[in-house]
Amino acid sequence: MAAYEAETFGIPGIPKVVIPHPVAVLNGQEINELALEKFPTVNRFLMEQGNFIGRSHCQHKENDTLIQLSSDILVVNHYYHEKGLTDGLPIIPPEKKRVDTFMQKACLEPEKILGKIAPKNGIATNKALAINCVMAGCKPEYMPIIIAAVEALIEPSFNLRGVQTTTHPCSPLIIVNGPIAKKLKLNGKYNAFGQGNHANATIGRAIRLILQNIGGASPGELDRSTQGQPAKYSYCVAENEDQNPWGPFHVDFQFKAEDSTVTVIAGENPHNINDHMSSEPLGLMTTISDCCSSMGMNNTYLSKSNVLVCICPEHADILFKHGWTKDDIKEYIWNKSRKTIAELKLGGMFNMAEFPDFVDKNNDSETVPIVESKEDILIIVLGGPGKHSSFVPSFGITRSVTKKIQV
Amino acid sequence: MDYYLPLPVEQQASFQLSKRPVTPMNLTIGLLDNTKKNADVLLESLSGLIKEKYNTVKFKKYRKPNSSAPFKEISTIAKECQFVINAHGD
Repeated sequence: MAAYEAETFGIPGIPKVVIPHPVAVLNGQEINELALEKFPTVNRFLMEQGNFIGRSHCQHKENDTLIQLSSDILVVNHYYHEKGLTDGLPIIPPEKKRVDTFMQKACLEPEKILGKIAPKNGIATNKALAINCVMAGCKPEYMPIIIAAVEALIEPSFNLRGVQTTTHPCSPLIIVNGPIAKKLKLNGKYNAFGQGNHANATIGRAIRLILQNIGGASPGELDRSTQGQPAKYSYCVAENEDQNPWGPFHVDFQFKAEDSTVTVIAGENPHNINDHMSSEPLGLMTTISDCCSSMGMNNTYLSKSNVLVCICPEHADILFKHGWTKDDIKEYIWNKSRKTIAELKLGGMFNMAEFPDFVDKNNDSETVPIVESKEDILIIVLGGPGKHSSFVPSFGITRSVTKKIQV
Repeated sequence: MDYYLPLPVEQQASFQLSKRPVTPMNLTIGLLDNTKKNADVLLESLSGLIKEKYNTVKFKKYRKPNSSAPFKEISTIAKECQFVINAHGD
């Protein structure tokens, strides 16, 4: 990890001492022995002039991005797989003519730069995005969503470097709102998180390929996720605005209902919230809030991030008919979805990060909310008929970002 | 047939690392704890060994707010220290 990061910053020769995993389980004596073993190397780094000169990396000139291969789709797929340029699934070969036509249909200015994608700080040009989109199977008309999503992902508050390189399994969830969702037939109803919709599947997949190929987060190299998660293949939904009784999600962020937006949030896979029996808010909200805080979630130790509650239409209907607003739901979750300091001390991630001043960590009976304020809890309406909502925990230091789609 | 590679056109800046001192005796060394368990213990142990060898070396301790977040005061470390040991990863 240190080696890859050093290369990214142009200092591949920076001195490093490697201590194998796991360090967290060692006792003080074992740590001291490790320090003693590594000290001669550290001392050499302090004293030795060495050849620690930085150098640039990854210099692909324009012509280097073109290769010649046979027209056999299997040969092309084998080449891209072997080079680590796919997600493991077959790709649409990014043949030059196909990509150039794609860019023309999408009215893209090929060399326009959107920014740099962490962790390798690869420069995201429209052309680089388009190549990955073709590989993922996108239609040209999906490009405005992809571009807005990339603009959101590279906002500093999203902390893409952390999201891409963490051992946590998080992946950016793409939420599409506004008229474009219907126009491009994105799914926010039955099986919205699942398979079966072309736009959801290929937009989500394209974002993953962009993060991997342009951002350089290849599994086991700079993507250090311990187990990963299925959502790392593709993670894109539209909100079910038709059945959102409170009004669309993006309007909460001062966008107009007729605007189209993309929201990115670094989340775990959705955790199911099954409540078939409640017909009134108290039971339903008890179920929902109980699902939002467990010892293995980063949020349970009060993260500085957002979390996402995806309420299914039937659950939304119960809450709305009883007069609950989104703000009421957020407040209930913020107040009820808590563990005590005594519980948190038993394991998990206690003491890995500082609590804000309003949490007295020396008081065992103190309860800890999942985020700093109720406004950090985001709510969308999602899914088809049935009584399954879901919770998307976040990984920690990351904020959701919403961008208007330029159509 | 010609195919595009899905990679960025990228040029990274290069940097020259700090020159090493004739003797580390007057150095201030930063110890940057990434908050992962035992990072502080390891840094403490290493700094103790350095102190044994170079008894006038000074240390300044820093702790990231969270292992997943960038350390925002890197320029402070650069002003206050000549070297930094960063517990990274785990």
